[in-house]
Amino acid sequence: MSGVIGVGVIFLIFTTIAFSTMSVIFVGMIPTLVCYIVDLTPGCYAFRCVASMNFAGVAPFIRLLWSQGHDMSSAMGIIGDPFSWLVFYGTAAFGWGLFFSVPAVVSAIQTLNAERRTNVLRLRQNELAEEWGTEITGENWKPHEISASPEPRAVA
Amino acid sequence: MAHAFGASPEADSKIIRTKEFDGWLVRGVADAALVEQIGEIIMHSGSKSKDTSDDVLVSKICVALDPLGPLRYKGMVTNPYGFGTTLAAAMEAGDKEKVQLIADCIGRGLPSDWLKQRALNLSGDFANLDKEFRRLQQLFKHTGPGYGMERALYEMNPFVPCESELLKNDYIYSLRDLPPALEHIVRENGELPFLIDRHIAAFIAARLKGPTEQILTTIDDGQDKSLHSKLAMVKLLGAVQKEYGPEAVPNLTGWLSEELAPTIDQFKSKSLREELRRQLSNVVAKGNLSALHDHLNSNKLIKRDQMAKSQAVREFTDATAKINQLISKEFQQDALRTGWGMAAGGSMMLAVATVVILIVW
Repeated sequence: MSGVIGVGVIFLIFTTIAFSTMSVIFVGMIPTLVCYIVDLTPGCYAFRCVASMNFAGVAPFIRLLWSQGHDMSSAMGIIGDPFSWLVFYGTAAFGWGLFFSVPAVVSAIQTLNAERRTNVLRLRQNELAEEWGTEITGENWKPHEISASPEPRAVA
Repeated sequence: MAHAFGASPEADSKIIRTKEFDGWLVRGVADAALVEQIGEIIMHSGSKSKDTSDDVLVSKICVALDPLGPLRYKGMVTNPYGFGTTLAAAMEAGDKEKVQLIADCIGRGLPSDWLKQRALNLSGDFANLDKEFRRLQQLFKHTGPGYGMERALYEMNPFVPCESELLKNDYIYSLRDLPPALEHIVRENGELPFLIDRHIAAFIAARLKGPTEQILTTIDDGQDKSLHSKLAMVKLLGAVQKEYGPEAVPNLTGWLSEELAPTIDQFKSKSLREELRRQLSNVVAKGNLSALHDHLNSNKLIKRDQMAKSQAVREFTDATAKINQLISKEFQQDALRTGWGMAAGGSMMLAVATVVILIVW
């Protein structure tokens, strides 16, 4: 909560100094604000993704504003332009896309790796059981049924 | 009196403990030193158990009364110099009572007492004989193969042949003849009726140079007919073969390899067991008993096998833990968290890159 208040105070200070810039940032970063409210993931990963990409979308328009004289009419021109809105929301949507797609891909790759590694370990356990018998496995142990033989590789 | 006591020891032990005997001792015996000596013997015998002390008491008093006479014990009257011959004759005749009597006598250290008294009254070197009897007394404390009466027989009679049942048709006077004789039996009958034989073990222990105690202890430690005992017996025979030959006893080695093949199962590693079984025929072909023993019971291999097993247990346990970790929900959640972290990191890098490009461009 104190973090939010701190951000609010900083925002207010910047607003008094550069009102036109802060207007563009406020309007352009609305998707991030919404994301902050709805994000329930531990560590606020969705917020981090959306905020970063959303800011990447807003930054070119701030540069444009600064290059056009940094006044309120230019700011209103940017805010009133539908293309600006498309970029703001498009980049925020891209942030959401990253948040949903990257973990799925990473998880799938790691699961595949884990399966491969599990197969290697189970194969090794079968070999050990064949070599040493119940001395190392115990009486109730049964050999693993391994569908596809994995490629040989060193087990860490 | 010593002569009379030696003839009927049971009655005499009662007489010795009477007050009348004490009175006679004080009044009738002029030798004060003898009276004192007999008094001490009677006094010391009181502290021991009655079964033991009565027989020993009579024997010791007989020695005190007649220091130059023979040793008298439970009706047996003999000179300890002749124990060996007496024992050999008793064992040959199957006189178990007499054999036991001699065993008791040596076991209770009576020959040493007898020699001590003799040394006081005669000049001569009795130390060596005393030392020999004390050694025999120690040998009687063990009951396993290679000890006891059989060992005493061969220790006290250096020229007695091995009296094992296995060798009843042979005259095995020297260890040199033992392996060929056993080889002959196996060649004729295909096997030995039994491997662990008290007479053979004692014969070897008494005749073989070098220490055999450890091997004999191993024979005794294993239960009768156990593989460990048999292996130790093979080691003992191997030591004889190494010292006296012959170079090869293939029939005996072959039979022993079949008899002792189950010892290979003591190794836990399947591949090691298979390897040892494969090599067994080569060892048998050499006909060397020591090599057979080392092949079946190599300490180095046993140690290696145990170490490899410990390592396998560790590896199996670690693999189980790793598999459990890889299929756990925590692992899936970790993967998801990693994905989120990568997405957030990637987004931030894109944002920073955009800002940098805008500043530079």
